[in-house]
Amino acid sequence: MPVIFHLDLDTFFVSVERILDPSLNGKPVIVGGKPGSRGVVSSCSYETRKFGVRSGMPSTRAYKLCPQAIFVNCSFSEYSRYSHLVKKILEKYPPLLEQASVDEFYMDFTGTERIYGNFMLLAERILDEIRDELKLPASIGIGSNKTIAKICSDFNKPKGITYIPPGSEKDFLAPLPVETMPGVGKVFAGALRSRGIATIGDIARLPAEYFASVFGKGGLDLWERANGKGSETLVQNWERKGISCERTFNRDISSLPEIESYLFNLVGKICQQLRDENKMAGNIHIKLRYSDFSTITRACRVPPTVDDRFVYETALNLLRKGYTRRVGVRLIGIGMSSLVEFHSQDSLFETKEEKREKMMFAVNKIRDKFGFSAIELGVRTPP
Amino acid sequence: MQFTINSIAFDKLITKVLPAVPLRTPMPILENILIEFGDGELTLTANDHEVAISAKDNVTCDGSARFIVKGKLLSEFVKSLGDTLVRFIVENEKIVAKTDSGHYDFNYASPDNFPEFKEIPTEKTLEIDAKVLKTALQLTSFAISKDSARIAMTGVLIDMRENGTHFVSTDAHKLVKYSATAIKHEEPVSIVVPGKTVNILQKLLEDGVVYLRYTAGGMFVESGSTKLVSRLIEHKFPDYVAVIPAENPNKLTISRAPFLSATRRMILMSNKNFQLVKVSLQPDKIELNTEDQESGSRADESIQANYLGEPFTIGFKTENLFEILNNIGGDDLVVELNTPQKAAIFKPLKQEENEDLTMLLMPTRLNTL
Repeated sequence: MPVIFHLDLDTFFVSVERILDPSLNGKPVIVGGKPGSRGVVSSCSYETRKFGVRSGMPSTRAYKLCPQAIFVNCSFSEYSRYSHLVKKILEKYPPLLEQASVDEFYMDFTGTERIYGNFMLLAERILDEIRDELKLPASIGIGSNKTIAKICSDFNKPKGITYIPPGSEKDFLAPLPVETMPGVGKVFAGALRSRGIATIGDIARLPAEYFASVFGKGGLDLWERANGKGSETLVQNWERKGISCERTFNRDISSLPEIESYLFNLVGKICQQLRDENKMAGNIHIKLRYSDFSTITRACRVPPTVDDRFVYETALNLLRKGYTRRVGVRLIGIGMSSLVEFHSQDSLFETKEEKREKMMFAVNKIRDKFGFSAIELGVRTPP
Repeated sequence: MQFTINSIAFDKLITKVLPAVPLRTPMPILENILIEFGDGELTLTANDHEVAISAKDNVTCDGSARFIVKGKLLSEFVKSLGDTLVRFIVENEKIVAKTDSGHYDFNYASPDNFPEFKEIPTEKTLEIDAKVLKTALQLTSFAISKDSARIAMTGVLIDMRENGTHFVSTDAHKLVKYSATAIKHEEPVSIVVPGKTVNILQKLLEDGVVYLRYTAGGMFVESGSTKLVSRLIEHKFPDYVAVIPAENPNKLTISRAPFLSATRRMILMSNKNFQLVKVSLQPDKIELNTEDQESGSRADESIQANYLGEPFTIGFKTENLFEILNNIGGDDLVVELNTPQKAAIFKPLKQEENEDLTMLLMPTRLNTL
């Protein structure tokens, strides 16, 4: 029988911010956009959750719910660094390890009973080591497949361990609401509820054919998972597929130069993050949301790059082509994907581009030390 | 007025001047080859205003004349004749070629507007062994830049100094310096020969002494019965001396053939967009590695070698590494390294007498630090 662990770092961004600034310990902390802006909550501490704050909600709303919360900006390079350190610790234990995201790991312990004995004790040992070495709280779920393990790890947060013995998966899942299932969002859950399906047990009781015909391939997959089945295959060498950042404006904007200046700032941030992760991107896309919530994206392939100027010029081109309606804009976003490890062919006789590249790395170092706004780039606009 | 020549000998002569016949030109007259005969000599000239080539041979002739014929047509016509005698008769604005079994009329055009082959009047003549010049051009030509934005690097620098004559080419990522240490110059002079001329010269040079004359804008080369005039690149060649490191502390000695062969495989397995090979240096071997996450291919190979120095990993562009290894020649080579960010120096383990060959390759930086 497969034994899959899912380790989830509890309120990961908040935990890292607390390591960087211990004065945040025990206080309500929200990582993400500042209140008053139209930014959102990236991560929030358990102290704020009592008040109803959730990640993904607008910061302004979070502020109304919990005005005493301390708002902190995201420090992605630190998150990435800590994620790496956690991975280093975990690598010692299982034969197979998959990093599913910056704060989630799957471990396959199938066939290691004789080495580790009791899996509950093993899970405790792993959590202890991460807490002692890195001061990061985490939770572990243990199940016979990835879906069960993931649901389990969420079941007993924070710092919890949940183990579902093989054979009891269906009973464990049955009473849980459909949203618990990974991949079921608000819209999907609404669609299920409108058909009288509220719990995972309700899904499991219906025939598979029904889900296949109503929801297609995804529906069938959901039905299988509701019946305690799921993937046991770990994807090794997890690589982030792309990064993106976006900005929701405080008020809708219809002046192109103003949108462009926001885009310029986003480019600076995203390139900084790529450099921090030692990556270059071969695909640039922009996202534009009009005030009526209609959203467009435009993308193009480029030779692998982290050059702020090149990325900005490409994104600007996409924006100018994409912004066709005479309607205010609510949100602008930029994303970069097709990531490859950073590499750069240096020249014997330095060109302007190479000089700028070196300059940007110097800028990165300054920002890593003194914060993003310590040094900012400008763009020359026609008079 | 006529001349008679063996078609194979004629083809050889045409092949010499053909590189100076432009494929496309705003001046149609340049698509021609100028043919002059008289006094037992036949001279062919082609000129595309960048390079002019003139080649000579002995023929049997009756009287003398000059005329022009479309270069490409003449070349294909003569090639198709195989091995036979061909007689060209020029009379009353008519050009006729005759063989034992054929009669061919060519279109006549006045040769008066065809640009003259101007030899360069200068007293500075350099005499150089054709073999040396040929080797120098062969070794340097692959590193010539194709970037028209940096014109100076689209040719080979011939830098004549007191300590020898240095032939240098670079595309900013790789650099080749071939020094003929025996050819010394009291007064240092340097010229930059365009890449196109370099390629033509390699085929044109005949054994023996080559005479080379130059002025600021052009040069004149004479090898056997062939003469060439070329414009020179007038932009300043970058300071190559400054970029060649005087001392790289880490030394790798390696057999060339297995290194080259492994690199060929790395090219096949690497990502076509960024062609990266990582070379990890260890005391008794080097390890080559490449991977392409998009296609899922990957290659690892280790080669025995002798390495003295700090172990580290350095990245190169596969194509560049291959070209260096392919062109450097010799059985064994020495690679001198400093850090993963600094240029690597490739040299043959045994340099030929009176020669010094150095190739430089800039690495691909692997991280942002």
